[in-house]
Amino acid sequence: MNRDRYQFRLQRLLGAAAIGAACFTASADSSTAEAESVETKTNVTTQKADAIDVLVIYAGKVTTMDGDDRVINNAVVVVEDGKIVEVRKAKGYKEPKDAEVIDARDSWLVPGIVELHNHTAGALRDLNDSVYLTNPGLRTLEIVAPETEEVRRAQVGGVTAAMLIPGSGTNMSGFGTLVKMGGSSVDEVVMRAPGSIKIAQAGNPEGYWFGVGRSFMNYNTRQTLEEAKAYHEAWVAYENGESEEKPEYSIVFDDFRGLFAREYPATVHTQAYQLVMTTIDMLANKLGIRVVLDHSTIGAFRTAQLVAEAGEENVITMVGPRALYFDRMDRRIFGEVARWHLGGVNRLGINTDAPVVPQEELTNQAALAVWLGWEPYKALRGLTIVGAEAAMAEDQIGSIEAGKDADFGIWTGNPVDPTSWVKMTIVNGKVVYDAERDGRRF
Amino acid sequence: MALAAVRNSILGGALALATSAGAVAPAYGAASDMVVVRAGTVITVSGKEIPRGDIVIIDGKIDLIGTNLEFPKSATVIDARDQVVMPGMINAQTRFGMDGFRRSGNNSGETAAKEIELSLFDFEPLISEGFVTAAFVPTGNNMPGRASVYRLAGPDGPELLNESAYVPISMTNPGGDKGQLEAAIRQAEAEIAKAKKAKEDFDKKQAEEAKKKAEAEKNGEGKEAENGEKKNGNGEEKPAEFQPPEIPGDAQFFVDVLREEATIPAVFELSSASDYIHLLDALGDNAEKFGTTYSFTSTSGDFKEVIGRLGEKNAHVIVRPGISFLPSTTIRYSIPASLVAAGCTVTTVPPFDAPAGYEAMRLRMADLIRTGWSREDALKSVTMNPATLLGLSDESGSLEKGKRADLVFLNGDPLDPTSSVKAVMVGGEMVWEDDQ
Amino acid sequence: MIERHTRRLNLFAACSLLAVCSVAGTAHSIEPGDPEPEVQQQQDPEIAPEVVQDPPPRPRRRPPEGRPGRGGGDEAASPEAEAGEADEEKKDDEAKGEEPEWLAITGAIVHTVTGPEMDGATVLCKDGKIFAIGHRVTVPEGAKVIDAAGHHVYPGLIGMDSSNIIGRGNPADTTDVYGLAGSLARAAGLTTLVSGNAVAKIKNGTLDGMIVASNMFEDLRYDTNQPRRRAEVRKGFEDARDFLRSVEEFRQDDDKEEGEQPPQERDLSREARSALRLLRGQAKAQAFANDAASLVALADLAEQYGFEIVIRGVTEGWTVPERIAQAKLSAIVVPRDRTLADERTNRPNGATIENAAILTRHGIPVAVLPPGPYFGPGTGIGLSGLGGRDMLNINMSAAFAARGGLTEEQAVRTLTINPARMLGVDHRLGSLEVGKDADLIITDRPLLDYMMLVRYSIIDGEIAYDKDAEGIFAHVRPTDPDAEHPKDAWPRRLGAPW
Repeated sequence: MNRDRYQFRLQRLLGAAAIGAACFTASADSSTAEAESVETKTNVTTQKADAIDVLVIYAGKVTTMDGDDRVINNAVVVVEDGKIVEVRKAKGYKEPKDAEVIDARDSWLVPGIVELHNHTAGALRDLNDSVYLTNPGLRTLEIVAPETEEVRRAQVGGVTAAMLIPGSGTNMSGFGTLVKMGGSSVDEVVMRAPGSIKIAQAGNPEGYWFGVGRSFMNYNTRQTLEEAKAYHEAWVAYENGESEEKPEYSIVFDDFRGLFAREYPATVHTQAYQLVMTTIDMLANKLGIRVVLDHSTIGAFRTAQLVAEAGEENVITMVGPRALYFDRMDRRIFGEVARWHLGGVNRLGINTDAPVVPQEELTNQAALAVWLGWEPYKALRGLTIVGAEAAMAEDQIGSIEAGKDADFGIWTGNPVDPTSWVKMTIVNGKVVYDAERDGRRF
Repeated sequence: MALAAVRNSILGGALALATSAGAVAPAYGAASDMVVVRAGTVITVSGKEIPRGDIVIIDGKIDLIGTNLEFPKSATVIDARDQVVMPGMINAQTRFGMDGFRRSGNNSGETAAKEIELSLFDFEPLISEGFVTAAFVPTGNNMPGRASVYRLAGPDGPELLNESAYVPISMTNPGGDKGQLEAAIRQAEAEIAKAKKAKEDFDKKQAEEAKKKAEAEKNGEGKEAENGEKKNGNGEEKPAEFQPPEIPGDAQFFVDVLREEATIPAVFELSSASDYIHLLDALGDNAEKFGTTYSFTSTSGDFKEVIGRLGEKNAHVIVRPGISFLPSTTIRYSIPASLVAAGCTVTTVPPFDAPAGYEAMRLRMADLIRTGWSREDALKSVTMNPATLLGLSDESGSLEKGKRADLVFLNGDPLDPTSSVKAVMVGGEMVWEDDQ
Repeated sequence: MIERHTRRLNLFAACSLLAVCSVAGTAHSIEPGDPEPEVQQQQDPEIAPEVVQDPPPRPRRRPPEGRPGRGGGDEAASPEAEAGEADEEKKDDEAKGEEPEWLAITGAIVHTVTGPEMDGATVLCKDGKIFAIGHRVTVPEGAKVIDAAGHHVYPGLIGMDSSNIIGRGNPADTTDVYGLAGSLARAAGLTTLVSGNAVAKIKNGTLDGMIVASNMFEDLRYDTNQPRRRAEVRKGFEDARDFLRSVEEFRQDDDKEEGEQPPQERDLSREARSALRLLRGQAKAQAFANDAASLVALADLAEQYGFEIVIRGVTEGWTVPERIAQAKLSAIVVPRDRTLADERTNRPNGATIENAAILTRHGIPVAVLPPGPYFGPGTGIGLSGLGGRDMLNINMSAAFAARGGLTEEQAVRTLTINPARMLGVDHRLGSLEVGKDADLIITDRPLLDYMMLVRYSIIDGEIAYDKDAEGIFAHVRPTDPDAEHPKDAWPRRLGAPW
């Protein structure tokens, strides 16, 4: 633990010092972290030699967030080697002898919350290498830091997975990484890299250079994506034997292949009506990319019909961090999410853009959405399974079902209610935060 | 160009003698300074609009308005049958061309006239849009000084009509203005108290002296009769007259108001409804004495909140023309129409103090007429109403017998934004013409 | 830790279970047999509240026939006395022939804060003051009646700061009384704010009665990192104390020389004049302090000279609650404070969500403020869209304090009676008691419920905010459930789906 602390301080100092230091910090991180992960692995192997690692959690209420929207009272969830193996009523269940047992019969067991818009899981707060207007090839994987103060904050808010994405200073600032909020090495925490490609539509990128307007930015983004698509298609043709010519490998475009194969989505900084319209039209409809609308605010709910037309499996709407929209035409406050909801969009999630809104307050973002007219249960879905769907990791996280990762929050009550709090956060079957053990933090 | 035609007709001395059976002009003598304007339409403002009306002007004053008038051959005739004639417009509040003095506090003893050097002023932007008279307000904050009224042109050039027409008092920034206004009232109250005390002291002294004298006379009766006689012999001393203490110039207006002796009004500048509430708060019990003349410096729709209250008091409000919206909405709201409906008198001034503001004015007013303001009220708001406000209603503001012949010639209706001013007459003489 | 919270947890679990029943709707089944809250445990002495509770309310007097009754005033005789005055006023009014203005709120769950919670009671206000609270209150003829059945009534909330809602400096000179910010604040349940050095009501369209108190604070700058400044402050207190002594000596001095002047305040330094006001109890001190060292230093100073301090910040108050409590200081905290612990420090430090609860448990009066957004107006109301972190959701700051361990009742106090007492206006505001100002809010849910919306805000007995009339939130869970959702400026191609 002491070493960890030292590491944090080192990161902080270096992070503040200079951007150049980032590489150093990152490498320092990964080297020490690797050393540690070796240790962990050794432990795991020794344990494995003895028996399977079983964790049994008794809970007063399990909100499974599965396809049937089951809520099971007096339930038990059995975890083996970090994966859920069984979810059932507690009555009649007897845990194995050596199992670790968590008794949360007075609490809720909720799937780990998934954050789709996060800038805090890295050694630096953000990645905004504003070199070119589009920077394909950059990736946040290089700056992932497994245990930072911000990660701890995520844990105390019940957040167990996050899409660590670069900033919106340019139209395309690189690839995001899907990370777990628990684990001590980069290998351990990274679920998928690339997790997404970050695209920013107008707004912030307009500050890039004088004279850069929306027409040019869209043209430029489209150009980069068209080239990447051509690269992907050339490879597909080659691999399928349709073409004999082996395309030349490109470090710039190779990561895009997964995007066009629809293995991961584009997380798009887009808000306000006209921009979201362009996003849906250009990325989802024309280029066939799976799109996550990553702000969807400032009145973007007016495009609800377009999202429905494009198909919610192609365009997933994650709203935030703005929670309310002041309608200057009619002196009203709209809930951004509530208006999407009323517009007929069902697959709705919430994000914080941490640190814009602190990561631990993701659930409070949901509370605000419900305050202004969303539905509480939908909010809980939006925090968990919809986030997982948006990240295209719904087969791994987002609900409590057999076969999925054992990522949970043990809550004193409904997570959407800000008076409820997290007693324990479990990632991959390991307790990463325990209010009793670590001291209550949020 | 139209004016050129007019000129020609004047020079040609073409006489138009109306002989039809309409109203018959009184028998005029051979008045060589008689001018007759034969207009397409005469907008009198005070009365009906007169199609094909004639205006007879003698010695610079309107003598008669009618149709088919008879007048002597010697009269100068201005043929403007293709034009519309209306009274010269009056701008009730402007800082156009004034130096940017940044003084603040109570300067209500100052006047704009002290700042204005006529030789340096160019009034053409005002005159060319039909303004004949304007009240200039000093620049500065709080109470920058009194408005001075000028006739912008005339046979002998611009002329100061009234150096002290009203006292503008800003309440557009209550955080600073309120304290200054309260201080001015306190100062005036102190002056009044001082004067009262001086009077009391004086009376007391007089009484004491009289008593002393009486006692002295009583005591010295007989004994000092000689002296007494001698005293009397010095001549009857005039009874001492009370000299009230001098009141500082900047306090004078407020003292007059508090004594209810003020001859000119205060005009309170407000930028939002809230400013009015702060004004009432600052005036306290003296609110009644300060009258009810206001100037809205913005077109903020939140004035809706107080317009009813202003209407109850039949306030006189100077507005900048423009469509308003209720706060944070797209609901349109017409401040002038609402003021009139509530019972207020409305005076309009250009939306901003620049040539473009004067040019935009009639267009903006037309907008407001489209959204519910009546044409009559709109016309009055630039003629009769400001004349009343500035104390000029005896000589300006409408076309009536006895008033000065300040006329504006337009090639169309004044509230048709496509019309333009073709010529301006002041006191019976053409002072400006469109030379295009 | 878990054990310490068990009792509360059970309560939460019970509440939350209820909540989820309504939450879940028909989308999923909820099986019966939810875990029953266990029998309440003996309270751990360690966490037993040491807060001095208000005395229990006296039994209500039966109202005399034909007259409106008056309800359970608590505490000393002052409200009664004021009510007596109110009676006299009534007589005066009658003599003048002026009809008093009555406002009755009936059928609501009335949270009096200092007294009991009364279900279905009537709150009767007369001429801007609370005239009666109770179940047997007769509503006089001609009274304006608000049927608030199913709603909750709380005292108007008091915000301990204001950056853009009411004016700066002297709010009575600078507030936009028709401003949107005021409407939003009233919509949030706030009726009173602190701005500059004044307590002001958020009046709607008038300045009458706006200022409740002013000059209630003397700023105390006593930072640990400015030793010279601290020395000046201490010298000020010494000088002020000497001054008081010499005034007393002068008073007792029998053989004063003729024309001898008593000591003059104007000869004192600024610090000493400020200290003098504090020593005389004419004002309370207001200080900013977050770290434990500064808090202890303030506590020492207050104890040494015997005056009251209201401290803003108090991030590390939870590490030294005994010292703060002993010196009888008050705290204005931000429950969502996220100051990091400094790992170089060899003691507990940094912020915790439990701060408000720990301070309250030690008997320290606590008021709460929202954290302010990442970029935004802090303690005002911002419309940039980053919600939930400013005054528009002030109730959630109390809810976060409850998350940290306050009971619901204690959390409500952090926005009502506690700030009222800190500001010295608790004789008029902060609770529902006979004789106090009729500043109250009617809400559709309990105050700490995150879905709570204010239905009416009433200031001085007049409706200052009406959800349906203001429009700001009228479309959210509308009073008329059949009301259409608001139309929007839709692009024509997209039609209008709702």
